[in-house]
Order: sequence, then structure tokens, then C-alpha cells
Amino acid sequence: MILQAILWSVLGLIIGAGGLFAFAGSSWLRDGLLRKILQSNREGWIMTQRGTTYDLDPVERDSDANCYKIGSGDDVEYVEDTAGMMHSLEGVPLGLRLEGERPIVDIESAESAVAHDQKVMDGGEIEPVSKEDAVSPEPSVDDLSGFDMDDLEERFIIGKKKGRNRKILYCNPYVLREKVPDIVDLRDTPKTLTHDTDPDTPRKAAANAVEAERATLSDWGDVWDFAKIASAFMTGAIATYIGTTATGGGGGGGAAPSVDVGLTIAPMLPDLMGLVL
Amino acid sequence: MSESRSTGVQQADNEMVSTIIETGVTTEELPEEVENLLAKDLPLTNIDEGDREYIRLLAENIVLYAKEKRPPKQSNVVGDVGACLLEEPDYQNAPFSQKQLNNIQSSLITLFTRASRGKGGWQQDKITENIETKRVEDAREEEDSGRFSGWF
Repeated sequence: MILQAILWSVLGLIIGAGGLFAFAGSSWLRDGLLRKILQSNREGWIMTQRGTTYDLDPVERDSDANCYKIGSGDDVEYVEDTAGMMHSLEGVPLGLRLEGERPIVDIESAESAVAHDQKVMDGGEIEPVSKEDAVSPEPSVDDLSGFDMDDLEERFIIGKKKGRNRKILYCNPYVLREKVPDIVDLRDTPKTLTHDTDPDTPRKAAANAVEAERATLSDWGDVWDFAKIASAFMTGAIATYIGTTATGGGGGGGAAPSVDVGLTIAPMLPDLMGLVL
Repeated sequence: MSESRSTGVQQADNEMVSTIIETGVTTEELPEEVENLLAKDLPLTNIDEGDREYIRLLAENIVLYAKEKRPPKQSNVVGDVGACLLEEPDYQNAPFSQKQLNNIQSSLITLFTRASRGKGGWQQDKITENIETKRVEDAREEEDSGRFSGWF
């Protein structure tokens, strides 16, 4: 009798523990936890790749600078979504970025970057098909007759022809995403950037601007002006100075040239085309 | 002072000023924004220590912005590849080389030292003193040569 009771108790414990583990591992619970975490910061999250690890950082929107901020104080980093790659998960903005870069990217752009990096960037000169062609080259379908599908697929600039006052480039900007690994690696995304960005630049530039104004203060009457500037900095108003000078707009201050930062991904061309220069 | 002598002296003064305000650094590979920082009139300004610090800090910001205009070192969006990707036939942007980055840093140091010569109008004062001294000496020479010219 007692043995029977012990046996049933142990069996009940095993079944109960198994049920608990099954419940904990269920997608319902997992999704619920994820939703709770994401919605704890409705302004958004950025998944940052640092080496081979990924961190999920809450961000704060800075509407004056049109940026997102990660961290605070001297450790603050600014990230930008100029290419519109911030998507949402569970109704909360979510983006990806590589450590040390400012642009926010997404999975498709990261996959495109990996695929483009596997291509031969410059296929070199195309041999002229005839003497006439060599003398004054024009684009011709015969130029690509020496290439098979694999050649066309694996090259970005398939080939070039030069002539008097013109240059012809045949390029294939398309990539096959099937060839990209399943795990997204963001380390190739800087290879598609047109600008060298640093997430610390807005903070450094703002600090320099505040210090520069402070350096020109000469008497106590100007200290009040400095206090206003310092408080404006704390509330992000100096970020406006950075934002407006960086975009070439704003009044009065613009000693700095305009800066257009962002992520460029290969454009989708309707057909394989030659670019005549 | 005779007219031709006066013209000669003026020319010498202009050459001296041009030599003084010349940067003496290589500017061909510098981005335009950084090259503009080495403006020739900077040593001839009248600024105080606070203005000098103001110039230094904003120059650092201009260098930050100039660096961000170029692609990163590992970017493939350069030269012909960039022209194709961006559909801009004239696109020839390229990352800064290490030599260019070093030149940019040298330019900042040059800017700082040139700005010091404009502190309190120091350079202007020195040029004025030099010109006045030369004119006094020239006038004295002319007077002496005039006094004794009939004797020999």
C-alpha cells in the first residue's frame, strides 16, 4: 500500500515536472515574455552585433537630431534610420546595427551585403570583338557573348569597355539570397556604406560646440547665456545644432558643410543594363 | 623717397607679407573643407585666447564632418562600382588614405599655430614694425647718399 502510494507520488512528480518544462518551453510563453520585454520600452530596441555576440539595447528617440540614442552621458551612442530600415516587432520599433556604425540596417540589407561581398567586384576589360569595335566602341550584345550564366552571376561589374571620351560598364547588381547563410551577419554592412559614420560623432561635435561657445564668454554677464546653452544641451537642443549644420540647413551657424549619411543598398534595376559613361 | 624706390619697397613689403602668411604645408590631398581652414588671413586677424579656442574646437568638428563625407575603408561603393550602384556616372568618391588622414591632423596643428599669430593682432603689429623700420632705414640711406653724392 505504502509502496503503491510512493510509486504514484513519484509518477505524479515526473508528469508534473515534465508538464512544467513543456509549458516553459512553449512558444506561447516565449512570445509572451518577448512581448513583455519589447513593450517595456515602446520607443524601440536596437540589436547590436559586437563581434559574434548580439545585444538588445533600448533606445530613446531624439526628435531634434532625428536620431536614436543608446546609453547616456559620455557613453551615449547615436544611431540613424535614414534608409528607413527600422521595422517593428510586437508593435515596437526594432532595428539592427553593427558595433561602431551609426546606420540602422535590416535583415534583407545585411543579406545583400554578404552576397555582394562574395561577388567579383570588377570583371576587368572586355576584349573588343572586331577592329571596328576596338576603334570606336559602342555597347553591343556581342560584348557579353563570351560569358556564361555563372560568370554573369558571380560578377558585379561584368566588364568594361573604353573608348574615346566614353566608358561602358556592364554590371549585375542582383544577388541570390538563397546562397546567403541563415544566420545574419552584419559585419559586411560597412562594405555597402557611402559614408564613414561613427556613433560617437554627434556627441563629440555637440561637446566641442558647447566648449567653443564657453571659450568666447568673457564676463559674468555671459555666464547666464552659457547656462542657457548648457541646459539646452542637456535637453537635446544642441543636437539640433548638430542636426541642422550636418544637413546644411539652419541659420547663421553653418560653417560645417552638409553631410548626407546613410546606407546604400544595390538598386533593383529592371534588366541587365550597360551604363554608358 | 623716389617713386621707383617707393614702388620697390611696396613690392618687397607685399612679398614679405605673402611669405609670412603662406602655410608651407601640402594642401593638394586635403579635402576642401580642411584646406579652407588654412585661410591666409588667419594670421592677420585680431583674436584673443577664447577666440583661438573657439576656432580650434569648431575646426575639429569640420574635420569630423569632412571624414564622414567619404566611404569607410572597407567600403565597396568606390570608383566604378560606386558609379554603378548609385547610378552616378561622375561618382569617384573613395576612402581617405592613411597619408591623407595624417595630413589632416597636421593641418589642425598648423591651424592652431597660425591662429596664435593672430592673437592680439601680434602678426599685424610685427609686420607694421618691420615695414616702418625698413622705411626709416631706406629714408636714412637716401638722405646719406644725397648729402655726400656731390663729393665724389
